[in-house]
Amino acid sequence: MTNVEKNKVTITRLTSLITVTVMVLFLVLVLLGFLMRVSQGAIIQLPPDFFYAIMTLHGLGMAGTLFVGGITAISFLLSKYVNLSTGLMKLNFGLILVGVVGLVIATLIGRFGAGWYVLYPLPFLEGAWPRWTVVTVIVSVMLLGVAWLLWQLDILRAIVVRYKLNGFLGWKYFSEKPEGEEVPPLVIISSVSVIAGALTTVFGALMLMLYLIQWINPDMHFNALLMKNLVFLFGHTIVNITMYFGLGIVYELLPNYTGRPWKSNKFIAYAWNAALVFVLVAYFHHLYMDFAQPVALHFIGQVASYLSTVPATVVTIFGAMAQFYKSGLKWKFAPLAMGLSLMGWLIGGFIAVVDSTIIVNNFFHNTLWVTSHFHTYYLLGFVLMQFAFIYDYFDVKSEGSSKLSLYMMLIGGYGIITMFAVAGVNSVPRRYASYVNIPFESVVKSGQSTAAIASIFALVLIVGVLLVYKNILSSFKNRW
Amino acid sequence: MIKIAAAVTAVVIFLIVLIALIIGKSASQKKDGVQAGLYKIRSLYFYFLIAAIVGVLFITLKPGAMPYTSLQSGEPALVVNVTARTWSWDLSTNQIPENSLVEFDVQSEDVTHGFGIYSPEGKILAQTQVMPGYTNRLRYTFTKPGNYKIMCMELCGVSHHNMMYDLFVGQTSDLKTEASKKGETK
Ligand SMILES: [Cu+2]
Repeated sequence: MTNVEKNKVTITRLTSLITVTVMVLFLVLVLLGFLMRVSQGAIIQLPPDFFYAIMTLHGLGMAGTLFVGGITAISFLLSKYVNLSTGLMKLNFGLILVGVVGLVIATLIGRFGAGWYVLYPLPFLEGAWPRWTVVTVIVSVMLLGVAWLLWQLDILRAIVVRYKLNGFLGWKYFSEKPEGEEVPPLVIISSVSVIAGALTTVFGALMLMLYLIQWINPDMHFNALLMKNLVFLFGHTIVNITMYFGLGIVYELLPNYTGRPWKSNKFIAYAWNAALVFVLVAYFHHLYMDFAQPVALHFIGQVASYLSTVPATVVTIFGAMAQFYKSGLKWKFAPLAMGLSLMGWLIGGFIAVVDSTIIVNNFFHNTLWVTSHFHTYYLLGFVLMQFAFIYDYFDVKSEGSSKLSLYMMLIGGYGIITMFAVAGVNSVPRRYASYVNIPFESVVKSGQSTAAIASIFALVLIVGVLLVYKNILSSFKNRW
Repeated sequence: MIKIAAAVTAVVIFLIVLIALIIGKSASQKKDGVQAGLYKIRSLYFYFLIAAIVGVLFITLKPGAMPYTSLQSGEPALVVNVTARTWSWDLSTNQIPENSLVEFDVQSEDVTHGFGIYSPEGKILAQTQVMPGYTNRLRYTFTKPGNYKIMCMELCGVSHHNMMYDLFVGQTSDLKTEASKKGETK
């Protein structure tokens, strides 16, 4: 075997290994979500410290797991065009596993429950959870951060080596006659994602350093507003570029099913460069209710959130419609999941745009409306893109149960997000371990009944996911 | 506002699903004209979207409608000092006169909390974050008398979901004189 062939085998094995790990983690984290809804629905009653601990694990875990799933898929697809370092990928996988173990121990055993965004200075609240859990979480997330940073920088390096400075972000398409070899949309999207991701991971790492300093020396204190800006710059970007990874999958794989090319042009170049700018400043919409934040930043947050719909719909959605419309493609699992994922992305995006309006956020901030938004994004957007990739990757045969599994995920997923949205409209706050003590009967009823109904939808989702897994695992040997 | 937002969202989602169905059910047609037709709609859509964004930004970003005190005019008739800590609220008074501008100056003694005002019917009316190191000023005019509640809107530890407080709104003559309570907050 030549080196190139060896590299291919290694990347394939790693992709299979990480993908299966992601599938397992995803299922476990969905079960935690189910458990939370059952408890909020007052069907069982989890102790509050345990509720907040699994909520923290669910949030951090999903953000991390789906990010890793996305970057793994992207890396595999990119390896057709560029040379990624397999050694680094192995190291990253190791770091990620250690980080996951740390988070599981700190939350499930230590009952650390400050939420995925560890809002400063909550982790340092005395008596809330053992001191060791705080440092365990800080170091675990740091390990994840290091792995993600290295991985993203390696992708950037590999892309720039091949496509050069005028190609990696598609800038050459700004000229009327782009010269040199074509740059696939996947490459441009990956560049945009890893630049935004690497940049903000550095800020996230800086924040974690400050946390570590305060943990070592409890007399040290930092500015809470600065810390909140840092955590949302990091968190918002990581979540959004996970969506971008998913879109990269769609741009790359969909043409294989429709038989129509989806090539880079100036529209795609403009759109994704604009997305790079918007994703970095839209995070201000997480801080609308922080009246201490300069008002100009609130305005920038709303304008950027609104403008981000332009590249997303004009270029990506219309591009996808041109792929699907009258293409006569066979609705196998992968293209169907991709089409539905774009629909989910669009719906989730619109729910977010509504909430990114400052005068609306006033009523929806930290209610379950927000929870509805990102569950649509993730569950009915990215996860379907990820499953489409996995189906394509393992070359799973699309049999009868494939579509059934997809429809069960849809029914479960849309049921879950509808219940969140209804509760949000009824002013039910998010991140409440229990609704029992809310002093309004109407809010208690709305919170509990939507949670109980959502638990049933979650069961449908879980059966759907298990069916998808059964089909995938039967084809696992195709890629080992 | 909540109802408008929910209704607009529902209509848009309906349209998205409708378009998805039309695209998904379209019969096969391998001719090149298909994409050209779509791209014509696209440029129309582009101008429509830009116009819609500019229009909605114009309507929703009016400084006076913003919840931020620095953009608002007028002097509050009453300033209520609010202190939050895990897991309780301390208000300099919870007797609020109706139809007058009230300013809540909120501070935290420990972690970040969320100061959310709920109507007697259980609808959220206004909120601001309560961040340590800062005083956030939230202004509100209550137009109806009744028993309002303060609920915590930011995760602040294991008893976050139990952090509530009463707020009574009425005519000045109906309110208990709380002069003794004023200035009691630490
Ligand atoms: Cu709280």
